[in-house]
Amino acid sequence: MTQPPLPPQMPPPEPLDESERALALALRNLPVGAPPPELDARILGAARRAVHLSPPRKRNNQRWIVGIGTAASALLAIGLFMKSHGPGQDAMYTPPTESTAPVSAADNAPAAAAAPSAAKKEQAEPQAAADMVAPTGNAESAQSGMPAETPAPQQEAARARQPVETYQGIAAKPAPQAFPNPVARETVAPPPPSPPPPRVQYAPAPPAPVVLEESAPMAASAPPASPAPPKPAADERQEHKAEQDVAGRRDAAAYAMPAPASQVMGGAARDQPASSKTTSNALKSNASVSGEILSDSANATEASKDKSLDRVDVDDGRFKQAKEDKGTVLPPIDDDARLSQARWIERIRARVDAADGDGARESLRRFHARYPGTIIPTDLRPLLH
Amino acid sequence: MAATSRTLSRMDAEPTDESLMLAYGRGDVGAFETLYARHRGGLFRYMVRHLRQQSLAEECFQDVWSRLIAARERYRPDARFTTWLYQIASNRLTDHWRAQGRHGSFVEDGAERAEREPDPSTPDRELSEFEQRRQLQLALEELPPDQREAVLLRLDQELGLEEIAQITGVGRETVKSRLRYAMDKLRARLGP
Repeated sequence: MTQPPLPPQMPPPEPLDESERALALALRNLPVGAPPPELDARILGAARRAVHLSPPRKRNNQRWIVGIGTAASALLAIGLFMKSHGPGQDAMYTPPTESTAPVSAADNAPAAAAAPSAAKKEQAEPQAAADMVAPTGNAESAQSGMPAETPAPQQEAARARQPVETYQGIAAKPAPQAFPNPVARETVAPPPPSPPPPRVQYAPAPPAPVVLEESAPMAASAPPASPAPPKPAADERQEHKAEQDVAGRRDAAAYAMPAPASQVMGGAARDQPASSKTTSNALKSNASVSGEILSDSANATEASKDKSLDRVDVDDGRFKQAKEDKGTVLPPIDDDARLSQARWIERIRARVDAADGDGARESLRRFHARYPGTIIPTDLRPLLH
Repeated sequence: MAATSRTLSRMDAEPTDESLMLAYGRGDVGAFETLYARHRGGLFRYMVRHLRQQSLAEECFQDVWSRLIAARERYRPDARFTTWLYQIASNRLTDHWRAQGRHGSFVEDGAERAEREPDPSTPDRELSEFEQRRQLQLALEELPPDQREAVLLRLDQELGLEEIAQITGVGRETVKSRLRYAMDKLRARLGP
């Protein structure tokens, strides 16, 4: 038994003097009975009961502690649940809403075609902002020249060649926002075998162009293709031949520089007056390749200026490119349905690029039948008509 | 002196009252049993000499221990256990006197009893030892309760003035005065 702290030192009791001691002795000799055994038993029993009754108080304290601990655990669990299922989690999927918003604007584009150019700027700015976000994966693959994503650079190059003033004019331009660079999307997240949920499809959307566009001049500074002497565009045949040359060189540079110049230029170029847009579009589309290609393309565009200025044909550039990509072998149309939405769209574009107009229309028709709620990209929309 | 030596030897060999009380406060019933065995006789004598009735003394004696049991977890060894125990007993007696409303009845009772008893100081009679004890008891009964309390704590429990002052709740000089008056009365009663 450990000794408790002793009580404070008190002065020792004064010893009894002789008279006190005599009285004390006489007092102790007085007959005084002792407490009866029953009284002793009662007192000792009360002492034991008191000790046995005290543990419940401790148990109450323990219960209080256990209650607090349980409440804290429950609070923690609720917090984790809220965090995992709460608004914070939904915020991760907000990009779809952001990316789909311009799509709806693109859908309403025909109606807004007559609107003033200020409205067009408002529509173009989001796309420019979306174009500025790009994952580096595509650029890396482009710089490394890996042909795994072969259709992507071709597609981007085809878009770069595509006249900006095409079907439905400027209002159709925001369309790429609906499916901003699906190739880049697939580079970030490889496509699952089955179509993933729409949120996941649209989530990582916009990125690709920026890095590509930044790396484009570097890649263009050392193009593998040798420059061809510019040919004067005298007649239509020569013009067509020049276009083929340009396209051939562009294909060679496509792997190293898939970024479309039209996206690099952003919406500012789209707001230029229509009279200068054709020329600027040609410049824009060719600026992404190289200066030489640019000049070739400009010459070719100049040659076809009389036809393209007053003609709105979204498939013009695409089918021209298709002539160049004729050698590409595409899988049957039935296989397109197995692809995800984004890849399916890319496949349709690849068919367009490969001059498989019927196949592209049929595939797009099936796509539209399967995904009636999905907005068809503007560049493919004419195929439905 | 003998009591003091007994106390010192007990402190060397056995746990102190304070440690026993603390142990009981932690739930050690055996410590209480030891403590009770040490103080039951002295406390019971104290009660009987104050109250003069065995049944009343037993009742107050049990109440004192019940109060001690109830206060076991609040006990702090700020003073000696004996001081604390007899402080509880003193409070219980005070409650008793207040409930009875006859604080000075003991003086009257003692005086009445002394008048009824034959005068022990008769020179014709040689007082036996028994007569001396009886005279002492009568003298104690004649004392006012405050003086009786002080003299009992001093003679029977051999407590010092400071401890008696703590128990009774008065100053040391008051205790000293009470003791002086009480001793004078006892000596006068018992004779030379």
